[in-house]
Amino acid sequence: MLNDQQLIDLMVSEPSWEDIIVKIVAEERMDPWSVDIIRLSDTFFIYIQKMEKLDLRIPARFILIASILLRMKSDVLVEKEERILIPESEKEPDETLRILAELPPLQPPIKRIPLRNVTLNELINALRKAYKIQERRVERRIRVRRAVDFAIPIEEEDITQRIDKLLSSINEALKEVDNIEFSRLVRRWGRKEIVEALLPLLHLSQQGKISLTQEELFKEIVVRLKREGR
Amino acid sequence: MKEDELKPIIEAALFMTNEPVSVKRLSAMFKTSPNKIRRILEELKLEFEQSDHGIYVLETEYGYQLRVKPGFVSYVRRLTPYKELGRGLLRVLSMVAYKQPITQAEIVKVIGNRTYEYVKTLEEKGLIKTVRHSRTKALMPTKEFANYFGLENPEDVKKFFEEMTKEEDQASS
Repeated sequence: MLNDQQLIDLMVSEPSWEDIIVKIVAEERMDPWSVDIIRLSDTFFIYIQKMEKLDLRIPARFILIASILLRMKSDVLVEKEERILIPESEKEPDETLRILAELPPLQPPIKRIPLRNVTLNELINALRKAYKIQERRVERRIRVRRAVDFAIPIEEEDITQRIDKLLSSINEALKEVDNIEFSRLVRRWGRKEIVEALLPLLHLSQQGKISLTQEELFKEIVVRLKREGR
Repeated sequence: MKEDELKPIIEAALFMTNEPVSVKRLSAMFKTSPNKIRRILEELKLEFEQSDHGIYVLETEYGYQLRVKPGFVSYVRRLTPYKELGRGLLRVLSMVAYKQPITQAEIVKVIGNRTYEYVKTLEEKGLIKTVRHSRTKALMPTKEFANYFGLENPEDVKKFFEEMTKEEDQASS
């Protein structure tokens, strides 16, 4: 339980009156509706008597808290008086719940969001912006296309020429052996060279001139010629 | 519900929404016949047409809506920061007003695929009308469009655009 000095310290140190009430209730294990206003007033008097200098903010806070509590308590008492139409003893135990259930739910007012009409100037500006955006879009498309062309140099050699070239080198290599690894068909093991060789290889496979086998993903591709009658 | 009880409720319903409300919807909401709802709406329309009212009931094929009368818009428009038409809607409407008629496909080229949605909304608001034009739609402003911007006819808006292009030409030369 708080002694008078602790109560005074609490009233002086806490920034808001809500915090003070919460702390008093917690410390004193009090029913929030039964905070002792007399005790608050008494500690206030003790504080006044001890004080050497008057800081007007402190007494103001005591008065505020005491008055808020007084108001809350009186509200509860008034409500109780209004409700005591039926003696408590005669009420069914769930009567209060029934009364509460019958109360109409609170309905906050619905707010309408007003929208204003658009002006003719805004309409005209919108047209200007629409066409500007289109211009920007076209410019961006051209820029992107230029950048892509720059980033991916297009092979000057025809794909059919590349396919024929690769087929002749496969034929050459498979004169004496049955199969050849893809890595041996690539002149240098670089990303560009791999793509350059793989593309015609896939075309040849698609055309049914060669068969490709790969036992495991990313492992070696074995190339075989598809001979007629096989 | 009696008609005199229903009338203020329908008025409140029109006030609450920023979109056109259909007779069908009001009829379902208030469990009243569509004919009765339509009669009340017509009464409200006539009442608000009187000069001592600042708003009117707009009827489109999608329903009824409360609007500020064009003559009073300039007095009250600063009271709300929210525009009735968003940026995209306004761009489509401006293109329709400028070209009238214009095909939907032409607008799609400028605005993009959201055009279809914007056209539908503008049609619902009664500001444009669409006519089938081969595989696409031809769009043109309505009488309500003219009314909205305080013009006599929808074609009158063209001269404002012409002035705009003249000003731009002068500025560029």
